[in-house]
Amino acid sequence: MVSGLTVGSTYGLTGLGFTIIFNTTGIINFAQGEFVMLGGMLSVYYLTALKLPLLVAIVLAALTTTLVGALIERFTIRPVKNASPIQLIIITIGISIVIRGVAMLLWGKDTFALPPFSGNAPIAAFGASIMPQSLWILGITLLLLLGLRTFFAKSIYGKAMLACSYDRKAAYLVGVGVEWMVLASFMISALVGAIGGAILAPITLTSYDNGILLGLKGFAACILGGLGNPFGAAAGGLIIGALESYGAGLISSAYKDAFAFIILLFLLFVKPSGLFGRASAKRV
Amino acid sequence: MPAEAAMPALLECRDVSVRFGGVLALAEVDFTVARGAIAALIGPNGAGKTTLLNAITGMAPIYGGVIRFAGADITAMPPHRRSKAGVVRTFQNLEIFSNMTVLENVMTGAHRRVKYNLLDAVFKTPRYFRAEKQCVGVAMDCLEFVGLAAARDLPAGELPFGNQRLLELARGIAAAPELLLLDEPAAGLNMKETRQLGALISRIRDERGVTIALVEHDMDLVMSISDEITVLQYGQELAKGTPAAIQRNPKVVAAYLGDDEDGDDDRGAGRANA
Amino acid sequence: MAGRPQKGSDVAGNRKNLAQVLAFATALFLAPFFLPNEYYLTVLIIACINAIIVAGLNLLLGYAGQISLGHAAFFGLSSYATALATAKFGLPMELGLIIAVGLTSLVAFLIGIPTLKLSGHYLAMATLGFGVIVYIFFNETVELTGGPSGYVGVPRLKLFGLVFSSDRAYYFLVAGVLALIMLVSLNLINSRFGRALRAIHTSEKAAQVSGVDIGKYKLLIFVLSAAYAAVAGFLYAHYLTFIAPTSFSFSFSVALITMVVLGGMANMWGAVAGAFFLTALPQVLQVFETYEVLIFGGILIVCMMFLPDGIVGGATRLLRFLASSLKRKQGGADAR
Repeated sequence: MVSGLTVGSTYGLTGLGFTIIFNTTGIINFAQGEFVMLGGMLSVYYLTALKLPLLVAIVLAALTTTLVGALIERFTIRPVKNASPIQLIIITIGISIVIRGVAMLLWGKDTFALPPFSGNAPIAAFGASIMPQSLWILGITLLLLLGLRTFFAKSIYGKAMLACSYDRKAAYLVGVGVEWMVLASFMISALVGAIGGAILAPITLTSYDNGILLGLKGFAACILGGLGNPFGAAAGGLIIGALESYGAGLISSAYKDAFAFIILLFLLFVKPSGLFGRASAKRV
Repeated sequence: MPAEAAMPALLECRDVSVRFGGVLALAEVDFTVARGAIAALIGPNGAGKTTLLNAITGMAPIYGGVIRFAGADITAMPPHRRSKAGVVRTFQNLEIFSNMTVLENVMTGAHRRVKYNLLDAVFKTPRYFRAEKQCVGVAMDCLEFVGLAAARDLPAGELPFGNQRLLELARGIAAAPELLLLDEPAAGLNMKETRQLGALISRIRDERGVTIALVEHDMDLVMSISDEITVLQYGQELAKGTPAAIQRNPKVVAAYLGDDEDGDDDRGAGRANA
Repeated sequence: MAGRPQKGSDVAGNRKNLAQVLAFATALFLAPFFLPNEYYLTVLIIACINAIIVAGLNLLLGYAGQISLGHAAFFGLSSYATALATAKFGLPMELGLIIAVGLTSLVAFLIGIPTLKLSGHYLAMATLGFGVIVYIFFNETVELTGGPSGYVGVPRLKLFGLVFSSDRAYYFLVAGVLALIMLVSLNLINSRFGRALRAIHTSEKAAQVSGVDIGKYKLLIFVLSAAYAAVAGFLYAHYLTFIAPTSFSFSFSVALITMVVLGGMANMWGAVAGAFFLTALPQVLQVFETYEVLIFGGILIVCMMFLPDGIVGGATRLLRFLASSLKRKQGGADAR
């Protein structure tokens, strides 16, 4: 169960990334999962190839991924402001493929592991033994959530980003630098995703292609919690993670991956607004 | 002039309410259109005029009330079935098919009248050729009616704005509707184009027997061609009557105060059913 | 996405379509005689099979404007269905074909009803999710599908007494099927159904008021595109006589979309060209294998950003522009 929640918080963080970009631009960034992958892979690279200390490697990985997010926005999203949804979907798919391809070229197809942040000795608590890494994951996730909540609710930049998603033109007219907000949203999403990837890597290993599944499950988390609701995304991620580990014990771990998608399909068909969402982005 | 009392109304909306979340866009509105009439729906911005059109065509969910068309209850009918039943509309923001030529746009308007199935299309049977030829004929007839016949092979998106409005009109009449709903057909047209539009709308009713309901802001147009006018404000019916009566109605004038100076002109008096 | 008018919907266009298909079929039938060796025949066969799927996907994505990121699933369902029917249950191939196409179409129908009510990102994600679920199913249901190591022992195609044991014979069959599919598709487009599809793509509201039942048409074209993929899956299984889940993954779904995009959406011949080009390219560029993923992604991005009509469309636009500048003296450029 704890492992389910642990993995679930990564889904939640990925979903959070989706939410941030969606809230500012209305776009679903299919490449979100790749940010998570990059967080993990780059951390490994900086640690092993450049021999940097763990913390530095992770911070650097997060910053590098943030830069990638900025480049994506600047060079592939901003030029096509008026593209149709299908065009944007295909472009972000293309981006995710390119990132994956570059990762494969640079680091091959192997899986890598990050060392756990504070050792391997399980901690006995609540009648179960918990990996210390799980505590790190849950703790950092919580911190990020609180930080983002404060940012969106209290800071002027956060509110400006929300304004952009409600009405781009109106935001522009009241002086919001819409383009900067969009850029910021991509950077923050990349940052959040990368941190998620880095903190999960010690437990679930990382490889060039674990972005696809993570991205999809993150999206499922997003929908479950209601597209547009950051806390919903986090909660959705935890729920999916819990359901996965529960179902794996119940039916078979082979089909574990399918659960998230079945949940996703079910949600899309029956209640696209999810558990806590506003019923916007309605079906035609 | 058709006498309303003698014939049952073609379109009858009773107590129609439409709700969007917490906002009541239409509150128990009555709206009837007599067969063969040109009925106008006017009111300040946000009064709910387009919402009423959406409700009539099935594009906005009805919270309460009944809509009857030619005697049948269409309240629960999906939009395309209402079109097949004879209720067709044009759109405030043009919705022409920019990925087709002018002729194809109008042929699509006649979709429900062209009768052949998939197998005919795939195997190119005689029935396909007959029906397509008929469809082209219908479409050309409509294009000639609105004056766009020469543009038949142009990409629809390349037409000047005024002609695109005419194209939507042609597409609408190609469906051989009994009731044609026009959503601000004069928006963006200059005075000359608006006058021509008014003449065209009258011809549609006179020569093709189509009943017309139009939502409009241009008072010259409304006053000159309408038989009856319904005024909406804040989602409710404010007044109903002939153009002359509406122009004299103090509530209507108050609602429009400062909005449209042309409403004071004499120009509208001509067509009024006194 | 729906910009210039697409292929005409007029009666004279029918003759043009037929002529084009005949020319295409002739080119296909002559091709083997110009190939340096038999290996390229395999490439052509696979290219034709891919083109059949892409034709259907083009109808769905290019004409009706509905995106499907899981079409590999239909391709795979059909392959496995016919493999099981003919190898495991010993049924004749004709029955295998019916079962494969029928089953796949049924699945498409059932999944299409709720899915096509969605639009935009939701539709994309739903089709993606569906594709992944089916892929996981192929991988994990080992007793049925043989799991990741694949299913061996699919009999080589034998239809109505004819055994297609040689590559050359198989090629002519597949090429013939492709030509037939092209004719069917072009005829479909050049009709009220094609107009309805294009209308749905541009403005669902306006299509509805013109009497088009958009739900029915979207479902129809979705199932049809799945049926095309099913036919391709049948031909694929009985050619390779071995199938594995990796051929039916998300990567293949993306490759299919890339072929449609490259060919210029809503351009049937473009889609075929896209399929042939992207199937043959890995063979021509040996290094392609390593960079394959990158190149596909790059094509998607570049095409969507700068060439919405794809390469074929861009080239056509160029030719059109040249032709109209020459014709300007005669007055009025032909928009067709």
